[in-house]
Amino acid sequence: MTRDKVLLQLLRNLLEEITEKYDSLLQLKEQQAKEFFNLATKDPLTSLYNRYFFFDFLKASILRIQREKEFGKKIALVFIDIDNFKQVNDLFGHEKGDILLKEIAEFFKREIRKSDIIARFGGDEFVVLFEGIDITKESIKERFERIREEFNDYFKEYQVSFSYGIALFPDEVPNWEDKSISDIQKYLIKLADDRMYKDKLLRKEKNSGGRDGALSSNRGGSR
Amino acid sequence: MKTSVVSSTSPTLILALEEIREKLKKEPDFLILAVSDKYPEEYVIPSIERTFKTENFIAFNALDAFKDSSLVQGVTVCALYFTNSGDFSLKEVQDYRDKKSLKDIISFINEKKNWIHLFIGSTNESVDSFVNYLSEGLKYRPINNVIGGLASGEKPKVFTKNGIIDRGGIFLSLKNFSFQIGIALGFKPYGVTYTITKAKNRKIYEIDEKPAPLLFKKLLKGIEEREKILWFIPLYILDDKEGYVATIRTPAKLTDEYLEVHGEVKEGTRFKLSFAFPEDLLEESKRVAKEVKEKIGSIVDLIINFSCTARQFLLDDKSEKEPEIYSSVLNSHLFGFFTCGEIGPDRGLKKVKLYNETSLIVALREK
Repeated sequence: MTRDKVLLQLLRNLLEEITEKYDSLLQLKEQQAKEFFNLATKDPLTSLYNRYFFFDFLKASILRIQREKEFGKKIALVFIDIDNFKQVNDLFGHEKGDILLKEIAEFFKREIRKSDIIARFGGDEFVVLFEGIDITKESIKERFERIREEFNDYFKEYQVSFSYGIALFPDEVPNWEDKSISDIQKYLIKLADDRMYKDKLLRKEKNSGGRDGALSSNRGGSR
Repeated sequence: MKTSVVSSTSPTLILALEEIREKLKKEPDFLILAVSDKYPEEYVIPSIERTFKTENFIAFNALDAFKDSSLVQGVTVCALYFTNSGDFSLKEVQDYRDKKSLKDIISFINEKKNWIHLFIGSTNESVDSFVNYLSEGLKYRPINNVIGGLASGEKPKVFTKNGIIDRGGIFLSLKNFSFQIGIALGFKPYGVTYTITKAKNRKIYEIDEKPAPLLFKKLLKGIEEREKILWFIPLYILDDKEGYVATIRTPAKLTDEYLEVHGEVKEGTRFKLSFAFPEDLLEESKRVAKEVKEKIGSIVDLIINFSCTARQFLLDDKSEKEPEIYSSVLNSHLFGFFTCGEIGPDRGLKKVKLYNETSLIVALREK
């Protein structure tokens, strides 16, 4: 092998090594970026989005609707609170409670379209965001009544159910054009939360003798 | 000062020395001899003393030596004739680990901070701690007057009137001289950054937490010759910002367990692989020669060049070009040799460092 050929082979090997190393570094960076994104946006227990990501997403949706108001797009924000979850923790312990929360998250993920956003708001509270042109309160309600039926059946072993409340944007936010994004977000959350609470009380009264009679509210306690 | 650089390639040491004595005509004040290790080491001192009838010499093994712009595999002698106030002093370090003699030398150099101190040492792993110890001991600033190189060959040694030194070296200190040091490198770092994760002294066991030999075996894929080829892509140390030039570590030995380099490395050190074409090295030598000339002026009595063996391997058929550049730019006789490590000041002139794959020059003029 002549000196020139040796040198060429060495440079070729060096180039291969650099390429290989760069590839593995890039893969590592991508993996790290993914992990950082997940850490920043996902709830570690349920792997659903966390409330911070939810607020970011909600803000982006509100801005989009404001920008493209001529298209008549709407947002439906659904606030969900798990009924009787406290009893699960008390009866079966927190470890079992965590397992149940994971199963509940999986259940909602299956029921909600991939294009919609579901997040763990805190404790046993979840929020769902729908965006579209043909959204009405009735259509969402119809959908959630069906989901609740399935939920009750799926988790009957634990005697848990859920209450929910819906808030629509822009229909239900008065003078929204004069409000800041943050105020609109707060308003929508409060509206949906209040309605969820009403739903909980209503069902408690209505079914005081049945399974839902065991409904208890831990409103605000787990946030 | 007048200087004469002469050589002989006679196969017999005594004949080579006699030939040189003939060429010198006049008896010099001091002799520096680069002796190929093809000559039996036990003959070196008696042959020099018998031929030149002097004790004012230092000799050492060198694979090749430079006589102006020629490479010589034999004996090359640099003869010094002081014509003004120049003088010399010799200080031996029999063993790099001998702290007592080191302390004496350090206090000598600290006292003689206006002298130029030339060091020639045997090649031995303990030289790393010797250089560190020396560096820490020097208290004056700027440290711009200590330069040297390690002898080269199979088992390189230093020879003085007191005997053979195989674990230490000798300082030749010159008094009443103007001098200017230059350090040429020419390598550029390429590719990704690696971290040395396991190392001891000169041996690197792990790089990025993987066995170090893996990387270098990959780089040698399809190449029959081993370690020497790695001299083309030495380790360019990124964390050491103090070097006059970047600190390079030249691969010395590759085993299944470790990569040994010519100089100490520490765990956590980051490096890139580097590369240089012969033209890059020569371009850098030219730049350094011009810089030295600008600082010392147009009259130079002698240039001494310590140039790494690996550097010369890379320069190949252009290896005579480097001393040629130095002697033509500085317009002076040049004496030098291939080294296995070079010693010179750091960037801030606060320390002395052990370099690899560099070419160090010192231009001298007697006051």
